[in-house]
Amino acid sequence: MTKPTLATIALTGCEGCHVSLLDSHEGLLDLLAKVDLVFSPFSGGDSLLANVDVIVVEGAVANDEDRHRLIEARKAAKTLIAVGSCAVLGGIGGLRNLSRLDDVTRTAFGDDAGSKSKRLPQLEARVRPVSDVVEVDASVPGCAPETHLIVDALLAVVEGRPIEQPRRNLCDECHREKVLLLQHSQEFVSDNVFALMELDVIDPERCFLEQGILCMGPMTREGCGALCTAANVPCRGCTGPSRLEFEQGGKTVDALAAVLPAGALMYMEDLIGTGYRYSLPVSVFPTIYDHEGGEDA
Amino acid sequence: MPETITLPAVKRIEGHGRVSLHLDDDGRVADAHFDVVEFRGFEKMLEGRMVWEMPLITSRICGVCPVSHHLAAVKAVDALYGVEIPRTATLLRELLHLGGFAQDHALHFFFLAGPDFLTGDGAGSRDLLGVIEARPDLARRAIALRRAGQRVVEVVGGRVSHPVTAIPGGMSRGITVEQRLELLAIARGMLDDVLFSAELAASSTRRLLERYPGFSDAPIHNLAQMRGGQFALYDGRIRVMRPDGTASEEFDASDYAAHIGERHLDGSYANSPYLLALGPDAGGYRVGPLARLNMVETMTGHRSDALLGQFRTELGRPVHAVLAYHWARMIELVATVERMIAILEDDAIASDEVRVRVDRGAVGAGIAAVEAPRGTLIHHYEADAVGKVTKANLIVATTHNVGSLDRSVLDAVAGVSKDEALSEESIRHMELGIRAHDPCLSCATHEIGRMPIVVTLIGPDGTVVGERGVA
Repeated sequence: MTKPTLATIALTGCEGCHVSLLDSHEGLLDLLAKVDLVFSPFSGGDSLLANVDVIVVEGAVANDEDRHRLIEARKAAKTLIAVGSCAVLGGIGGLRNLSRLDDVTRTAFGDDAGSKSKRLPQLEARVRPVSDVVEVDASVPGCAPETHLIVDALLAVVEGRPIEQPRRNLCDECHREKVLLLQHSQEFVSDNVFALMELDVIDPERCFLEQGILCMGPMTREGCGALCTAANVPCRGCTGPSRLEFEQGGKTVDALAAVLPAGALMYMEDLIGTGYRYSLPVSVFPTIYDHEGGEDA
Repeated sequence: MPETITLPAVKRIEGHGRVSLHLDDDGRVADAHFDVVEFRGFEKMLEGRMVWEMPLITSRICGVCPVSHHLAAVKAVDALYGVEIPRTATLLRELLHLGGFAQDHALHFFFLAGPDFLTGDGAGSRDLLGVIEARPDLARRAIALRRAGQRVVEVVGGRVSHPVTAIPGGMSRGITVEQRLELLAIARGMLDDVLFSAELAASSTRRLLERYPGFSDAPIHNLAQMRGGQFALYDGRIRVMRPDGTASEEFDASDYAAHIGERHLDGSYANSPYLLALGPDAGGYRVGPLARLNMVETMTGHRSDALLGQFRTELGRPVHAVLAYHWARMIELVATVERMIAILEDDAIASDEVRVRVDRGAVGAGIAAVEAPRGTLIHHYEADAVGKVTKANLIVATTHNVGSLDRSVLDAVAGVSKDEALSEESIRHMELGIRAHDPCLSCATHEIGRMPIVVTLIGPDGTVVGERGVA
């Protein structure tokens, strides 16, 4: 029996998901024993083949070349897996949807922004997740997804098993103890909102919200193993919304305004950039184009 | 008017680097540019974010060297708030950095550039799979080095991918005595593999230089950050070396804008930095392993010092041949492991005094640099009293090298006719020079792997007269 073929492509992103796959170390050799890697950024053939059993897509659609390559990949793939939060949710690069494209390029290139060669990939007005452009068969969010999550998803697809999607939120796998949050009370759990660096002591065992720190745990899907909170750093929501809470940033306001002083939360923190850090392109949050019109209204 | 040629087989290759060659009136190559074709717009996206979130956000610029961005950002925020961090925090951050360096250098040498010269002609394919197939012994060493480096990142940084523990004021937490012992054993265990790698890089470099005599070795300025004359990756002052090897400027990263200008390029999404003192045309310079080794007086221990001595005895100082990058990179790998061991042998590494409290409020600029695997990385933020970023500027390592990359490409094809410029041999030569720099296009654009390139020929009137891609 011939081995199933695998290809991986990277659209606009950081290649961290490909590095995460490489971080399977010897496990990569086991994977390569089960699949025939026909094309990837670090190996494989000259160009994407016409028929590939599984294609993994990392990165978001940010320019016309991304769009073209993604459509070609969809045509070639029996199964297309979006890997990483850029591909699944639009990801961190989606924060550029908060601004007009010409403001983004002017910030980077000044008055010369308009003179970029037409031979370069043409930037699209909004960064989009893969599912905005083609049908996606399976998704593995995370920034980057832990190595085992990518490998397990690949093996599941190759072996014809469904990919198990976690349903709960990050708090369910976080080791930290909640006390005040579990009590019925009309009081806030902290009298102020702090940056992590502003705490005298960062309590390694107590819920971050109870220490007055904006933590994305309640709004974020589990599956990563809660590594950041274990490392004494609050969750920043990189796996996107849990399956029951589609609107990660909206849910942030909804969930936290009752437990942290809302005014301080609004003033002392960046609710949009934190609440929607990885999921702005899949949210209902309106872009500047929706308000002011433009090519992508 | 030059004739317009459309080549039928321009392969649309995954994440290709792109090269533009500009022809003069006689149809010969007069100028060359290495083009960055991806753009994400971080400078704008960072505006309005909280400045202490920069270490967590900017690590997402690059999945290959996230540690470098994480640390450049946190140092810039420390600078903004005028914080002195505890010694243990400095050691932990440096250790984190070294882990990232080790996995990155091993990845490039064995799996990304290595296929050019490690597998000979026996391999089925010139890529990572070819190395695994033709030289399983090398693949095993590469995997062991990457695993070790990433374990250091995971233990110190909290995660392998996009670590999180460096916060303004120090670290979110330290490491335990058990973790210290585990990492010390790992670091000592790397020594054999890194010394082997340095020897392999030396012999490979000698072969490459013999096979391509005079290949892209025109004199150029070098730039790197170091502590005094000592090799250092985490901190120090930025120095510039003239092409003849004499010392030029020296400055703090915070003064970078007085020394480094950025030229806009129509054909690329990267800006091209240059030394202001020399102007945009003559001010291009080189960063990364070759620049660092050209400039330092001492490395981190007796092994790497001896290797540096051997490197200089054979190749001189400064070395301008881009093919020597590979050897320099592996000498750095030895230095990285030596330094890791020294840090882990220091009892302070397991202390729990890892942070000081930092208050928001200061308004102004925070600027800092680290040496990333590919060269100097500068982060610059300005924030308001609440802590929201009002301005951000990042100069990444691969961008510094744009001038050197351009020169390397031009060296391969300067003055040749347009037909010759698109020959397979010319393109291979351009590729060899580009890959020696280890351009991490995730930072400047994207692409960690093989770098097939697409070459575009541009006539004197700016029209495209030919294009070719080679995988």
